[in-house]
Amino acid sequence: MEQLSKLIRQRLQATTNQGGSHPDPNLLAAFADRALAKAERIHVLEHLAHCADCREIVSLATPNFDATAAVTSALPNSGWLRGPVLRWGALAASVAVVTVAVTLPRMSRHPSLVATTPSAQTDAKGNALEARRVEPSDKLAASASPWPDKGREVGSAAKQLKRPEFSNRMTDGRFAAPSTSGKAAQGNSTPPTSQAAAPALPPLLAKSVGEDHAVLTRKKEQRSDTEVAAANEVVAVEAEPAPAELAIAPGKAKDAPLKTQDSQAGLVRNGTRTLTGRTTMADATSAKNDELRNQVKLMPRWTLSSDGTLQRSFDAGKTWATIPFAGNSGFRALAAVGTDIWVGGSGGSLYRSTDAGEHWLKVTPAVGEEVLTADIIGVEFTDASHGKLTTADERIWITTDAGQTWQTN
Amino acid sequence: MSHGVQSVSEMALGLESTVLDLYSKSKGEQVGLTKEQFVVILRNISEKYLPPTAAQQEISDLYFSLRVEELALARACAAGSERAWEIFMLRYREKLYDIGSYIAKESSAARELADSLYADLYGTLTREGQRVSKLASYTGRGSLEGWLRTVMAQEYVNRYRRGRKYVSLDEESEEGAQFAAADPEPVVMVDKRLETATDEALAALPAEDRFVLASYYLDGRTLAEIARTLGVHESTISRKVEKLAKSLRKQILAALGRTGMRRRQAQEAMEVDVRDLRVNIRSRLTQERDGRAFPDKKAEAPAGEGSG
Repeated sequence: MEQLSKLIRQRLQATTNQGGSHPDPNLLAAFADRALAKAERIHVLEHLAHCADCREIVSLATPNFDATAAVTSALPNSGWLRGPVLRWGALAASVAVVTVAVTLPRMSRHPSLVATTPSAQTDAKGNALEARRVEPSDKLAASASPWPDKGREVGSAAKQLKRPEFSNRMTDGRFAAPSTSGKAAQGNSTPPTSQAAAPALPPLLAKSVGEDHAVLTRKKEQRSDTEVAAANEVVAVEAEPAPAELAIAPGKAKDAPLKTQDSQAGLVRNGTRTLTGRTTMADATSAKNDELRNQVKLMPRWTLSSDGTLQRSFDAGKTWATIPFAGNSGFRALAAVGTDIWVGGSGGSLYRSTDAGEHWLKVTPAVGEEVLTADIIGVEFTDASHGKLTTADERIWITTDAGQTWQTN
Repeated sequence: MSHGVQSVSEMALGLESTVLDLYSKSKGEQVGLTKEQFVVILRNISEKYLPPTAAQQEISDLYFSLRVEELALARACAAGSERAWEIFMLRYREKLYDIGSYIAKESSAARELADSLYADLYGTLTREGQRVSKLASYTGRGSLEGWLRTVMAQEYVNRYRRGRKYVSLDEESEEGAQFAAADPEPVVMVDKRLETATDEALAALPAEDRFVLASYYLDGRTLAEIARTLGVHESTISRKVEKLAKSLRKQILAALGRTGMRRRQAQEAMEVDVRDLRVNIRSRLTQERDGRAFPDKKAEAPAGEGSG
């Protein structure tokens, strides 16, 4: 086959420069843009087949956006800022904040282990107000959970709480470890109940939690009843921040906190269960808690400079570092959804990072034969998969699957 | 133009709404381009790309395919509109340097290339005291950015070719010894029948296939580069090259068979001749160096509808 290639080379060479006059730059540009109609395109190709110079021009004039732009990290020690870690860190740290908010006042007021249940409840209730301020989104996620009946099951399971043990656990501030579902499994010993917790994960969190759920459950089963009970109480207290629930909270807390459990309270508890589960993580890495909290504050921020380069800041905008892209700048639009970053610019260049800018992938929107080559002037993403591009030639490209397929007008 | 004046006015009447539509789309008014100027520009473009006998439908198709906004901007710049230049600078100034460094891959050359193109765009060439901008030759067929890339690549190829001719003398004196010693013997003639068979097989291919073969075998481009130019995936080109090589071999052998050559004989002819080709290729490549890339790029700029 090597001989053949030499033969081809020789014969192609022999017919070089027989293509007539060179096409004007407009046509070559349109060819590179793939904007020519078939007849003209073939005409240009015919010339290109014979003309080495024009081939070189076209090759040079085609913008080079490789499949993966090698991006060297702007910060040396940012390996921890990977997607999953970031999600875990955010949750763990926020739960840590709640935990501290609930624990610290109690520890100062009840230094001994002999706290009476009602007062503990009342205090916890007061702290729930703080908890609400810190964790409104988690509360919402919890009440959005779609399994009211199962929630009630969990609620009834929780009736088996033992007060004194609760207060003991409360004071030593380790209520983070166990969770409602663990309690449910041991208290009731009925399979349906322990299952109830699993599907009742708040939808927003379900995805990231799913994997770890099994691990958590295993851990839970090793806990004693006391620990579980304590955790359950804390969970209930933490979960009462919604205004409506606050109104009925005193009754719940003083008389029979678990007797009045309606499905909604059960739900809230389920939702919070994930939080408590998270705290297990935070506990395991308790030494890192402060660090993590700082890091969450320092979630990267993004901007585009006036000359179209992408910049990232880890210190809430005090300093900015340029993200280098191989052979390309000229970005005009940016969208950031959590750690999912989309950036688009001249010549239809579109890049996506799913790990807060550590790695980038070139995305080439195409519908059938048509490839997006116009300048992208707008990028909007409402979540990781639903997004809209606006181009300089007044077209709109829409994806509903994170850029796998596109639709255009 | 056998239709004369009447045909022009007819065309203007029939296409009037199209042109007005495009004019408002081009935002030419904002950059100081009048409707009359715009009409003249469009007419010049259709005369440039379509035969005089083109149907009205073809003309309006062509008009609709144009990037009118970029066209209006470029032509307004060429006409000296301040506002247009402001916009142009804002959008393309940085890009020019980016394109330059992409093409030249070396910063000083890149800057020089970009500066030289910028000068051409601004129109430092004076002919009879008239400033003519290269932007006047942009016709909106491709994107303005693509055109800028192409024009700069053209300039680069011109310079590079010119430069290589001079540099190569030095290189030859330095490295010449190795080359000279390699094959002092004259070019060996290749079997005429084999040449003809190969030429025929190549000529029968579609233009795109020949483009791929030339890019791959002659220019030594990578599959990825070729794929990028054609806007397809690398694996498509990879398969294509493989397929083409196989089918060419088959066709050449078949053609040799038709000349009365036995199969075994034909295969041997390919083997033997190709060993001689090495010499032949080099001699052809050497000749090719003298070829000029483009007659004169600068002469081209003010041509056509320069006064737009």
